[in-house]
Amino acid sequence: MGLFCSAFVFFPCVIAMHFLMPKAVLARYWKEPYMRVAELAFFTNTIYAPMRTIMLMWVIAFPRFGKKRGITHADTLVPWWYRTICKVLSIWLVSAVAGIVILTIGVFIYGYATGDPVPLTRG
Amino acid sequence: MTPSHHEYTIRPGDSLTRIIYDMYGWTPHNQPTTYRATLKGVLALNPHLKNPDRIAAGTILRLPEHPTSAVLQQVRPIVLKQQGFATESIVSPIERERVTALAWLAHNSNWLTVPGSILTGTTSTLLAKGNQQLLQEISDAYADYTDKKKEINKTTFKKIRAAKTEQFRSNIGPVFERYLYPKKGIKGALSTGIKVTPPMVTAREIARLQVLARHAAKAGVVLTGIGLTAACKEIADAVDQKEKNEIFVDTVASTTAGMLIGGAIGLFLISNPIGWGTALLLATSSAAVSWAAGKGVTYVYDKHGNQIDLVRGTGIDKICRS
Repeated sequence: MGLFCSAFVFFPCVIAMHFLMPKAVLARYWKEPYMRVAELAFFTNTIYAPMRTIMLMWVIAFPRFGKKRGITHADTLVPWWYRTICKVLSIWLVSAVAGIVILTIGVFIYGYATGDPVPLTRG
Repeated sequence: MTPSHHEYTIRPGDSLTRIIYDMYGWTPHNQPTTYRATLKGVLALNPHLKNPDRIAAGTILRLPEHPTSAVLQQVRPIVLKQQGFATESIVSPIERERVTALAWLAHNSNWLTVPGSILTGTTSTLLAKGNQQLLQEISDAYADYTDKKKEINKTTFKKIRAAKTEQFRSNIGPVFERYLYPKKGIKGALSTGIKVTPPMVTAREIARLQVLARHAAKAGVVLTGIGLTAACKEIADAVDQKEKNEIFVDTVASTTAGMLIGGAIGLFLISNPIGWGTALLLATSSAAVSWAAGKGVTYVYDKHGNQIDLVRGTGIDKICRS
């Protein structure tokens, strides 16, 4: 339950980071050839725009993961506090998703093991 | 000075009757007098057409402008590419781009993908400027190849076309490619001589597509609203408080899980440029996991937390009422 509650802190933080992201990062990397045409279309000025922020936060926090796209210096374009928050949020996200997957599998296994499986339909 | 004609490149399957209907909305049946006058005008502008019943694909056809036509006067067309056409615009540049992209989509897909393009939200792969540019470059290369001065030879044209086509296919993905070119894909379409160029659009199509483009801008939000409204209705229709709480917990958990997993996919995406096959696989897996997470959380709530009335505590029951 704590996991889901903390998600309600994560999302507003991402929105804040979206608006606080230095323009230098977007100007340098949010374009071809670093990003594909489809990604630019889907994640720019649409309801999915926070995805852009999450993607760039990851390479700001951990530049080595941007090597395949050539995005290797995004961390130098942001202030230290922004970089730190990116690391915290990125690590939290990876941990949370891992936790969701593990807990979901665990609940289903527990249900079958106790003879009281998780109902897949309501009623 | 008002120009007297614009140009259209004949495509395989075209006939003069079809072209006049597409451009002006007239047929021998609905507007026989106007149709005959237009046909006469077309033939006068195109003395090279020996047999009006047999027109060859690739031939440039001059079409007369009819400023007095009711269709054109109503909507004042905004497609600007044709030689000599009046270029009055009544919409913003962004909307113009959307309309042009949707017009191309509609023209090349028999309207089948227009509802699909609306549902995918404000912008989609197909509306991306880069893809329109790719098709225009193929068209420009073809024009250079067919030009009398032979700006480029056949081998060069084929190389350009192959490279741009491959990029286009990679950008739009196999689902959209098959939707647009159902029989053989874009490569098959090109091999039969169909030129992939932004088409002329009629004033009627522009009017319809303007409306569709406006809807497309709101589609993503609408879809989300529909999903949440459906859950609210379910809560309203639920028989007892226990069921209301189960629906609420399921909805919140699956939506939250879905958004978090989507974010994680974003991390994977930035680290590993992926193709459409992998993207579809990830999207499907994400949907499955978030659905399962909703069921799992509901199960735990039933076992250990069902004494907490979340629906009443959050005030949801006051909103979602039958």
